[in-house]
Amino acid sequence: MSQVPVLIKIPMEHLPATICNFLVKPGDKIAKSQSLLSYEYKKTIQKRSALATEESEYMDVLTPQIEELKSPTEGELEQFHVKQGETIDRKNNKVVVGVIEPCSHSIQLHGLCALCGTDITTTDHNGIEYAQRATISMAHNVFGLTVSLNEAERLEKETSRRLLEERKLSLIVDLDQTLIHATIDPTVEEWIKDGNDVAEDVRKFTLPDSPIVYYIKLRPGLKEFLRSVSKIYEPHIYTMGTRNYASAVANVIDPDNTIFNERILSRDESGSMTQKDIRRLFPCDNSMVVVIDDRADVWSWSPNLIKVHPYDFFVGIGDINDTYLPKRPVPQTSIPMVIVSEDDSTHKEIPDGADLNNVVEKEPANNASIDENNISFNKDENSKEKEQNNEVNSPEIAEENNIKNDKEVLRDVNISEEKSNREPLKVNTENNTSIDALLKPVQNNKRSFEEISDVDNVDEKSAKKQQFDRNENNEIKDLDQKVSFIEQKSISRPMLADNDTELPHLLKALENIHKQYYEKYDSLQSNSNSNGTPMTPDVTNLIPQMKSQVLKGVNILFTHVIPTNQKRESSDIWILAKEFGAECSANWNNEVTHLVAGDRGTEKVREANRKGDVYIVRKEWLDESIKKWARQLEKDYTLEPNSPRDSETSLISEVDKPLELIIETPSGTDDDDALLSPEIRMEHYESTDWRSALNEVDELLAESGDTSALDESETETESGGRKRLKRYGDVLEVDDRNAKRLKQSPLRQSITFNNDDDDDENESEQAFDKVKKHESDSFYSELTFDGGAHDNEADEVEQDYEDEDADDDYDYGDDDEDYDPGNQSDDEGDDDFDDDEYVQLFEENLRQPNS
Amino acid sequence: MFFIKKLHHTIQLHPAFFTQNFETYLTEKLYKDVEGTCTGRFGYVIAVLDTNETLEISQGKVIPSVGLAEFEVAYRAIVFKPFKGEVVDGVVSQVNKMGFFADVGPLQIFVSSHLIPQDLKFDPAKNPPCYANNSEDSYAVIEKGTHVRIKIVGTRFDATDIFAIGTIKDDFCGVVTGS
Repeated sequence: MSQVPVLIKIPMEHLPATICNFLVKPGDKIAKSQSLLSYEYKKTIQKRSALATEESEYMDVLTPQIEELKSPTEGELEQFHVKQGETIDRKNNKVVVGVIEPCSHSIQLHGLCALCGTDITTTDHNGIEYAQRATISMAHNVFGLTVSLNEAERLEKETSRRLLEERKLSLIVDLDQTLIHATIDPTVEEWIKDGNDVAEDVRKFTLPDSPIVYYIKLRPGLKEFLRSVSKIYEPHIYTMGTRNYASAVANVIDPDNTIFNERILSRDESGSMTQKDIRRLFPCDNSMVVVIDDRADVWSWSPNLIKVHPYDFFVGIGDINDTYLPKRPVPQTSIPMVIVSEDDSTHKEIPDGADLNNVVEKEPANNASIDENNISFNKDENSKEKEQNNEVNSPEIAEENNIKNDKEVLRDVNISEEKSNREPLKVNTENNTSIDALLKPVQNNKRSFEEISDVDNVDEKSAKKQQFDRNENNEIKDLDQKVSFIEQKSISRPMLADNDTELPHLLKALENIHKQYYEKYDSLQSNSNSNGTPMTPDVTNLIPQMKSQVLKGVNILFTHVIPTNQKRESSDIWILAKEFGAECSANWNNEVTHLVAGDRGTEKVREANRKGDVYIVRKEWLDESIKKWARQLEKDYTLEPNSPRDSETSLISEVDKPLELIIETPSGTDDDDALLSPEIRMEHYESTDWRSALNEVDELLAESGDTSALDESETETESGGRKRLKRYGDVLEVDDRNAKRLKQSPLRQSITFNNDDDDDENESEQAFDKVKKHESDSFYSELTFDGGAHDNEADEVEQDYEDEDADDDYDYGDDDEDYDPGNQSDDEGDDDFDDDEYVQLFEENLRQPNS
Repeated sequence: MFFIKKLHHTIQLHPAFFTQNFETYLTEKLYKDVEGTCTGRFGYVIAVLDTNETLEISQGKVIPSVGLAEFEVAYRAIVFKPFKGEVVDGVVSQVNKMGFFADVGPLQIFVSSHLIPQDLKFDPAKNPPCYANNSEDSYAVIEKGTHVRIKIVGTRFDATDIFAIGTIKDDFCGVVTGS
């Protein structure tokens, strides 16, 4: 093995120095710390001058000193790089001598040189720290095996040469939420048994030493994806799961081990719990590596990365291995699940609470108990919250039950085991956060909606108000719905629909990258043949370049897409849009070409409408363009004014409805009004100051929508509302029936719902009270139930320990080991016992293993 | 290398086991405690040779304020400690581009690709990946499960662990063909 010599210099503080003598010859074997040469340098010494009488009369005197240069390492002297008598100064601090080491210690395992077997953990003041020689960890499945930079380069060169021969690239894939979605929710078992279609691709496995059953759902098209991709890529798994988990999943998605072939890197070996780094697998050269992952932040937005949309099949589970990762920064905006609620007719009466959430259906059920609005609003910004709500709330209730189940499972597990210990913990935290989420949305909504746009004039203020109210309205319906389902001992669990199409598109993108790479490679090869230096293209240039073509020339302004509490520039969608070539603007300017709107009713949308030359598109346009690596047709994604998902129109109609009801019905039905001719009625109608009327209604809404003025508003609103209504025209006599109808309109409900704090309510509205009380009660009962679950859990854990103690009639010692520090030390007092000379001989042998 | 070594172990016994056959408990506890452990000083304790009858159990001493009894047990055990220069047989457990790992009983030995004969080349495309030569007459392959004879070139002893580096470049080392 050709060796790079260790180059030795004279210490900087000794310069300038003059070489005096060589003490060894080139080719000599040198021991560690052997002197190689001597040199002379000037040292500053404080001397008292001969004339001095005062104490301050010390002088710095440069005194010549002779010093020997010692070898920091053993080896063979290569050569001297200096001549005798040569002076070396600070500017020209050149190498004096080279020593060739017998071993470079370039591969190390747990403090041992893997080449010569020397223990390299020992250091001395004079020597070189060999452990620093090999710091790069690059093997997939081994922890503690490190190599030097040279060795890593050598290994990598080999790899890339082989890949180029096979015309492949390296592909690092993530598991959780990229290729699969995993859960430990035991109720999945039930609906597998039910023979659900969607459950077809759900596989289950257990890990060694743990009874927990993992269910994983393969992303649609995974098999085909892996098969195709392994022809042009060499896939590696890089997951934040444990080794066992990664192997088990690999076993499922690649049963004959042909695709990944032990190229699996898990949390156990990765060396970081929070970050993923290409350099962990490819320390020197990432020019042929493509990464796919659903989390871009853990890769620090590496240029090799293709961010995929997270696969979220089991609703509300998320990534089961992200315990240590930083929190996902952006709430998921579009979830590939169709949210459908359960049909009453197919609803099964389930006695056990734990089974609540396993009733799942694929087809949308025509459900009478659910407002049609709730479904039709799907995908607009409110449904986002709704989805979150649903996602969080409904499975939440199930989750509580699941905890019990989990615990039952966990009871058998040795608690001290790290793995099983983590699971209940995780469930707990999930639970907690989702309870928070459950409690927060109302406040959050308020904040985000108030901050949406700078609204100046009154009309828009009222619009905002309406929007806000409507939003609350929706919220309430949600709760309504939820509550009613709890009543029915059933749950509106989002259906597990499997309409994810990410992988086929991803495959196309990967094929494209591969094609471009090798096209470029071929052209470079033919060019570089002449000068001989092998040139290869770089994926880190290629991918960003390809991406940036997609939305070139597009200038995007976001509205109602990025939460206001997040920094615009650091949100995923912003970074992604930029990566794909779009410019992003924070505010209106002349460059803006696209307005990506999460909601219609924002100031920016109005502004865009005024401008006219700006595309107003839904967020899906951007998502799809990014997903398909091609700019989608804007017209397929425009925010249509008449679309049912358009929130503003439905909002207006909803506000208008009760008004119409009040005005028209009396005039149509009342006997008094019947006397008036249609013309006169028309006159009345027209003479009414509609603007002020509308404003008044807005005021009314604003008044009751205000949560701070809850209690007293009840009766006042009622009477006040009537008063005003009377004033609309003397012809309009609001009868009781209409008042009742007003009361029961959805809008009205929204108003009164806010009073859920007070228990004793307005007596006159008993029917309404009942509904409301029922709402709030259930709401609270649910919460307390939740809290109870936690308490129970804690109790049960304690119970577990006790049980263990009681059962443990054999491992009595284990519990007591704390008392005995010397328990493990077998050798204590050996010498007292053995005076036998044979034993002594043996011990000597043991003590000097390497002699 | 294997040795028979006299060792000592201290066991604390819960009062619940102060019965006639407390020696049985002590013995089983001893087996459970020490067999399979590793100390840097003596290596791996493979098996305790003494049985219930032959164990030397000291007189128990009740620990004040705790109530547990402490016994000093002297026992003979087979210990395994690898030495530099020793030749051992093992089973390959893992193969990667940097070399392979082989299990020699409880000990894991790493053989770097530099210490594998040049003609054995790493082939990552094979399933499982392996080191193999292409010559027809003396075909050899090292993959997971292969039996190999390894010469240990270096060892390092932790308090509770032993690491070893091996080579198969030496005489009579390498794949052990079954016979």
